[in-house]
Amino acid sequence: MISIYDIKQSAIRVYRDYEYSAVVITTMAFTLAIALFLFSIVFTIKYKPLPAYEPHNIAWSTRTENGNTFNVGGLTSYEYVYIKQHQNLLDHFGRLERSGVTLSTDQFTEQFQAIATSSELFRLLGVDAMLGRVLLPSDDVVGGDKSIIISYDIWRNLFDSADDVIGKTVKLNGKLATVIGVMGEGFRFPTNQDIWYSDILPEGTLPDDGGWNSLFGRLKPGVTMEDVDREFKRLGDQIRNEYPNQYKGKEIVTVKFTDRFSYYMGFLLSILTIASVAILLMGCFSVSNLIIVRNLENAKEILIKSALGLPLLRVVTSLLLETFWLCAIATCLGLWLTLLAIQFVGADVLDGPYWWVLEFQMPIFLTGLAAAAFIWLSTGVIPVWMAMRQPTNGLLASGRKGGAGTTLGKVMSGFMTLQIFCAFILMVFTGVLVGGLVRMINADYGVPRDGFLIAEVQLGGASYEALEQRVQYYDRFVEQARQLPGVENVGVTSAVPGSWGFLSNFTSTERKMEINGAFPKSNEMPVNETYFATMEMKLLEGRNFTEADKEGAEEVAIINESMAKTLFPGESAVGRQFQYDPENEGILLTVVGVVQDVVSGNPLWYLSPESENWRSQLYRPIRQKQPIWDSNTLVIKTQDNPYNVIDQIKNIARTIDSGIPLYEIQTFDDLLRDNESGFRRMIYTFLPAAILALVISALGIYGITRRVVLQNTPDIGVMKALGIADRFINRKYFIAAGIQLAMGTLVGVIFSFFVLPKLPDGILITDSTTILIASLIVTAIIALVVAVASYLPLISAHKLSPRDAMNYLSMSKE
Amino acid sequence: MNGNNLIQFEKVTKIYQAGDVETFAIHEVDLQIKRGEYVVISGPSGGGKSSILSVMGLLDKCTSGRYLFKGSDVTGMSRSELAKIRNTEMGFVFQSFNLIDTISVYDNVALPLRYRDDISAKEKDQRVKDALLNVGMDHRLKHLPAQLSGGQQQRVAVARAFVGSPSIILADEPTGNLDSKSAEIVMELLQKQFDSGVTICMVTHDPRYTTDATRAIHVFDGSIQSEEFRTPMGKAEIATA
Ligand SMILES: Nc1ncnc2c1ncn2[C@@H]1O[C@H](COP(=O)(O)OP(=O)(O)OP(=O)(O)O)[C@@H](O)[C@H]1O
Ligand SMILES: [Mg+2]
Repeated sequence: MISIYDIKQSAIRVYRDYEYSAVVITTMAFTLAIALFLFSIVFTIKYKPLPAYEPHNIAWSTRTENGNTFNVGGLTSYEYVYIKQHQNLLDHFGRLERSGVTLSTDQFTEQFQAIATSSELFRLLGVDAMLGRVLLPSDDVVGGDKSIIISYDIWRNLFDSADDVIGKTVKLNGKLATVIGVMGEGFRFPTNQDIWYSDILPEGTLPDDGGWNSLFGRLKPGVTMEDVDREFKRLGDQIRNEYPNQYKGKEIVTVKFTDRFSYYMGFLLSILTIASVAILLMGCFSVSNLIIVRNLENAKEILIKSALGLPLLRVVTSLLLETFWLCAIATCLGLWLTLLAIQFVGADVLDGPYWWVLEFQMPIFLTGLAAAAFIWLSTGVIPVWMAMRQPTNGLLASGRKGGAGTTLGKVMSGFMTLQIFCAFILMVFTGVLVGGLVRMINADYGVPRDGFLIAEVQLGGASYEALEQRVQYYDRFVEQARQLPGVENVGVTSAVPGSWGFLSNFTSTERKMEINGAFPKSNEMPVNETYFATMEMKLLEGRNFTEADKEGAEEVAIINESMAKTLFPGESAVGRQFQYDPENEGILLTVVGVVQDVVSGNPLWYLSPESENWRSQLYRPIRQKQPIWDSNTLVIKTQDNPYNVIDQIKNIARTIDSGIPLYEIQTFDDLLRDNESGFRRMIYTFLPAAILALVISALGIYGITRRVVLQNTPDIGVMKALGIADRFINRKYFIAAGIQLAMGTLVGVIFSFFVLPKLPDGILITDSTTILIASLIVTAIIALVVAVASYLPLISAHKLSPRDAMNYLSMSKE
Repeated sequence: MNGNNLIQFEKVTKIYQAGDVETFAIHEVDLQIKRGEYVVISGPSGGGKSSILSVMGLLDKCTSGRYLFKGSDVTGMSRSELAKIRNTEMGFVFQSFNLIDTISVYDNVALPLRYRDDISAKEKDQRVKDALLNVGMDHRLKHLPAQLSGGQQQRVAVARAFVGSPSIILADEPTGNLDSKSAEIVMELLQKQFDSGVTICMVTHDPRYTTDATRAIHVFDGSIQSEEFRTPMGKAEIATA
């Protein structure tokens, strides 16, 4: 049916018109690659299966509180015990708790993320250890010997891949423990952990025992995720009815395990999805137009062939083959570019759970093929349509372009309009994202960023069980570090600005305070008395903490401005009292000072309206409160480069207690950058992709205009012969481009106004003024690109003499 | 020197370079055309007739020599100055009609007037309609060129050539693509323009249509081989009648 001759001829044609072929192939290959690359991010977050664990039926329960859902944790131990007794929808029901631990041997002392859990976790996943064993039911005993399982990375990096690691005695938070297993490479469940150990809750767990648990289990046959969610919420209600104070405003949310993490990426996912669809469509329209414009040149040939009575298939075969070659080459190139991009940056694009590593998987390959096939078939329709027309004498006799100008011309300008629309959307979204990044980078945390060295320390083990012992450690550290040359001040806090302390509830002693049915929350941070001065935070009212604010003295607090306004609107807070931890009938705290607000956690979130109920900050003196499970941050303010004092700081820590490591030693600025890194990484991946896509799109527009101008060169020649000035000839093309531009951007503006405000606020600036300004800028840029892409081809047409222009097509055919 | 000279060629040469081969399409041609002349250029294929007409019509530049149009040297003029001359002083009729097929008959004829600001919109409309009436195509204003016969298309092209009231109409084998009936009509139309005072310069192979001319030029190998001034037959007849 398709002869070798046809194949050869079409290949030759593609080769002969290499300039045009190059434009088509580049446009298609790059748009395909960019769209697929962005799609692979969406795919990775949303759909990439966890190897072997069948995550679609792993249920994952965490806490929702004040409208905020935690990815990991939030549920009390009591809830776990209660649900365990009452549920029968899940197999391998268990709980895990995430914590930072210190792992030490004779050789090293290091800090890791660990998981306290039971043998159920390993049975849930059905994994075995690479060396030794995983936790077994026999390990599930309350207060048993600590047995730990380590990750492949720890084994390789810290134990030099030693085989005799099994059975080795180590210290976990200063207590003896035995290594019983090493997990295989890549196992870091649930998110990025390195150590797993058995931790079994006693039967008589009380409702206010605390805990920060996530619950897991595998759906029994016939059970849906919604069933579990409903059932656990019902059990949660029962608990709340029993203990209304402790569980006020708290809910249990159960979803598919992997969904819990992609949920937070929601806004990014929607932007990426819109962007990759926009890029793909932009490419489709661009390539379609390029192919249409090319087919126009064959219109006459098609008509003559149909007039001669050749069968439809024969008429279109060579054209379809030609576009097939173009699409096939472009697809191979596009897939290869995708593969390259994924290989080069696939591991660095995303900041999240360990399986968020881009891979060139089958669905990505298939999506690419489908998109390419779509482009090929949809553009293939055109020659078929051309060939199906009745070859009337009129059509045959009409001008050089076979008279197909009008209908296809409309299709082409429609496609061009859509292409401009896609480019518009892409640019507006890119602009909004970049705007978010700029806001983030320039965010004011409320304190200076430079000149601080910070280090984490976690006091554990027998020698720090008493608060007094811990306070003594910090006092000694502060005293010695302050003596160092180049150090201006030293403070201790449980959380510096840009991070979180721990959440606690509070309420007024005089009025009922409720937010979303729960008590208001504060970011609670024990600090020492030098902290505010070190961090250069302004005390707005009252006094700082002193050494006299210790155990046994009046329980005092310093609160930030926001909390003062919440508790005592319009009044002075100093000297007033409020109720701490009302869920558990907590103590009354006396406010001794009011301090300026600083940013808790991510600044974009904190500064957005969403965080409205999360801006209260509560400071306690470490001499009165410093929970043993909480780590602290040492803040060292230096005169110049903070890195200069690292060694001395480490030395001081070693002399005070060699068993307590300082970890995450970095500058404050580094920490804040870390805060931005996930977003920054996304943008740095997205931005080049978007810009490249736009460049490619501009190339497509140029390619089309050039071809159109070439085809119209004889007409241009006629107009020149009639003495029409160049600028009037240009105007004709500019008006046509201008109409497409206006239509495309108009639809784009409407779309933006419609969709952008629907995206979650915080990261994005989506008020109508901003959208309008963004739209104007984007329109201006696109207009410039369109003008240049339309003008360039005209320059070469104008260079021809009118005579050469009129004869252009017959000349170039030679 | 001579205020009546519309076109003056002084040693005009046009060389086409195709690879290593140089073709002298026009070879040191001296030629003057005065107002009110009807010049017919003939000669063998490849002799350089179209080349001469193109240079004359400012559609192409000569390689060397001087070309004065209405006494001013055009060789150094800018693209827009040349366009202006073509637009206001010249009209063209081509063998292959060269109508723009995406716009209507009316718009094709209106094209040369379109961007002129010395004529009011109303007058433009009137002129286009008059021109089309003149060539007998006033019943086809809204048609596209493809919907006309070849002869009709050429009549529209003639209307387009004179709608701007040019000093000279340049026609390159205007009847080459037409049957004899249509050809005759086109020739009559050109004659009518000549009668109303427009200078005509036409290339043709067909001896039948050289009879109207006041001068016949024979071109061979890029040079003028012979020139013959005469009283046109048609004119003589009319004069004697
Ligand atoms: N664009 C061009 N490039 C190269 N050579 C050309 C070009 N146009 C014309 N020529 C050459 O110039 C010479 C004169 O051509 P021209 O078209 O003026 O001839 P003509 O007398 O009009 O012929 P015809 O009667 O066939 O139309 C020819 O030898 C032709 O090959
Ligand atoms: Mg010729």
